[in-house]
Amino acid sequence: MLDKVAVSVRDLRMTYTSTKPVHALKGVSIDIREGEMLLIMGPSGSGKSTLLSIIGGLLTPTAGSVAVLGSEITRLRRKELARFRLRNFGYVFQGFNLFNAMTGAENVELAYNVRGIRGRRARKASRDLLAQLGLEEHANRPARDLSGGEKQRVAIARALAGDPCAILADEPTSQLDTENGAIVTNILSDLARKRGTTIVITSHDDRIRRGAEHVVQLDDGRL
Amino acid sequence: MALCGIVFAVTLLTVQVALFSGFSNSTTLPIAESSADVWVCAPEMLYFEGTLPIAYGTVAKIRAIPGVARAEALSLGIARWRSPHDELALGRVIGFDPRGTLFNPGNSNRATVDLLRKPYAFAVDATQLHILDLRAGQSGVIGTLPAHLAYVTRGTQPIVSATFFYTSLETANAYTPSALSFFSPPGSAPPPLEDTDPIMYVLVKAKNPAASAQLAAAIQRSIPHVRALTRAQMLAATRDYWVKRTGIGFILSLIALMGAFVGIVIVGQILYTSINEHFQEYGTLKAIGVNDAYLYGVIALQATCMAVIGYVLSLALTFSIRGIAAERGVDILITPGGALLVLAAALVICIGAGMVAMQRVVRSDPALVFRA
Ligand SMILES: Nc1ncnc2c1ncn2[C@@H]1O[C@H](COP(=O)(O)OP(=O)(O)OP(=O)(O)O)[C@@H](O)[C@H]1O
Ligand SMILES: [Mg+2]
Repeated sequence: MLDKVAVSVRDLRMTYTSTKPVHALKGVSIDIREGEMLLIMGPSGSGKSTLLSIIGGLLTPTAGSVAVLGSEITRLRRKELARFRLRNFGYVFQGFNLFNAMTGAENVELAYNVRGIRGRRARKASRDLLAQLGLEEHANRPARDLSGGEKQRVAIARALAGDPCAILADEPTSQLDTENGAIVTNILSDLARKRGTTIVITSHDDRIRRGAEHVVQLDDGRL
Repeated sequence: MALCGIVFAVTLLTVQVALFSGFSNSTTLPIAESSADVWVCAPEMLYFEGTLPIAYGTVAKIRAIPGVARAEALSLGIARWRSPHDELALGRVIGFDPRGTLFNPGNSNRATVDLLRKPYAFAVDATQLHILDLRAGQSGVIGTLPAHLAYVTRGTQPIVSATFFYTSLETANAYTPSALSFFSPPGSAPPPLEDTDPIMYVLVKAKNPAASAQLAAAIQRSIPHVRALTRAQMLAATRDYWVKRTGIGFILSLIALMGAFVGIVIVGQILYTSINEHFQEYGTLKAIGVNDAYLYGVIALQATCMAVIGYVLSLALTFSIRGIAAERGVDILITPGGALLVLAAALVICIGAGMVAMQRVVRSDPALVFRA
């Protein structure tokens, strides 16, 4: 296993000011190594989603720094940050966020298309990915007709389409039953082990702990 | 639902643009109907109905000018109409030569126009019958003289004008309330016009229609105290009068503009709502890392579809409204230019509104898009 640092977070602070100020993160520092699976645990409202969003370049922090593979992403402009996300990150969401009118395969193809891979190549690549995740017979069904576990696996396939260096998953199992939750967790930890993909997961579910090699606890905006 | 709103907004715009073109077209109907190349009138002429009389003798003088193929008189007078059931209405008597070729309201055939050679016969636009309280074959009274409905025309009545009664020059002259017509014994035919009788226009057909401007200039040079205008000048003078000098043109353009504004607001609202409904999806695309152009492209495509579908449906709707309006003499005119203008406006409005509504997605951090 490589020991290189993939993500380095230093003294991260986030204050939401849209209504009355909410100090969601109060100085968080952490190093995430390449190819490790990091689990961020914590009660509801502790700032897990906020931290994960900032690491993934989905949210601009109030203060602090996030270096991904050596480049500081909090200082990137919107356009550069979008390109950075496209190249380096894959996301898995609690609510799956699939395009429900499209089939599972089309959802994955879209992720290839936005990266400039189109047509037959995109179709083949997405089928291969779905097959790896045991979804070959569901590829042509509309996403809305899939079960929760199947949806989340399609979402993982979509996240993998850009061959990202890191996958960020915000409570990926909280809408799944124990069995499907375990399947998804295993897929993610396999990815870390076999592909060397860095995985960051948030959860308040203790059952997910087993697969993770590195677990941190977030409480009220502090580790 | 969203489409309903867009159809409504675009129909609003289409109808208003069509009303405006219909109005602007309607004001110049009598001129457009005439095949005259040159119109000769009093120097004071402001627009078709707003002019002063010239002498009937002018017609003969113009016929003598080289380059003139034909010259015919056209008169305009006020008509006080009394229906068979004693309903009153005010109108305009338009006198022309039924034997001539330069004026023929509604392009009726020869035999039909010949009906006006009978004394006290008139033609009127179909939309005016209910105003005149009159049915085919019935008679009323204009001034003190009888008036028999000879035939009915279609699409000849400007909405801005009082009812046009089309008659022969002689009958028109008799109807015009002067001392003479008052004393003319009932039953006798109206006398032919004398050189000093008033008419309003001399319609001139040029031997060479391409040189009508030169002919107009020649006429104006050889006959004192008249103005000679080409057909185009006459059309422009009348259209400009109604569109620019009266409040009507201003009001109609204002209403059309308001229609556009209301359209923008409605369409903006709809696209905004639609974007909000798909916030998760846009947020997901944004999180994945698509660039701004991609997001704008998605909304532009959606907006274009909406605009085009909305446009087609609203054109259909406008055409059906058109039938209802036509029965009331209001012309909703959908010209190719107008239709294109509305399509362009619909596209600009939809795409513009979509872009503005998309701003919120584009500008904010993807994580915040999710939470919204
Ligand atoms: N956009 C926002 N505007 C204002 N306050 C926010 C916003 N997003 C999060 N917060 C607040 O910041 C705090 C941390 O929120 P966050 O979503 O990061 O917690 P979490 O640990 O992910 O909770 P959960 O387990 O419920 O998902 C909470 O108090 C939340 O109310
Ligand atoms: Mg959360």
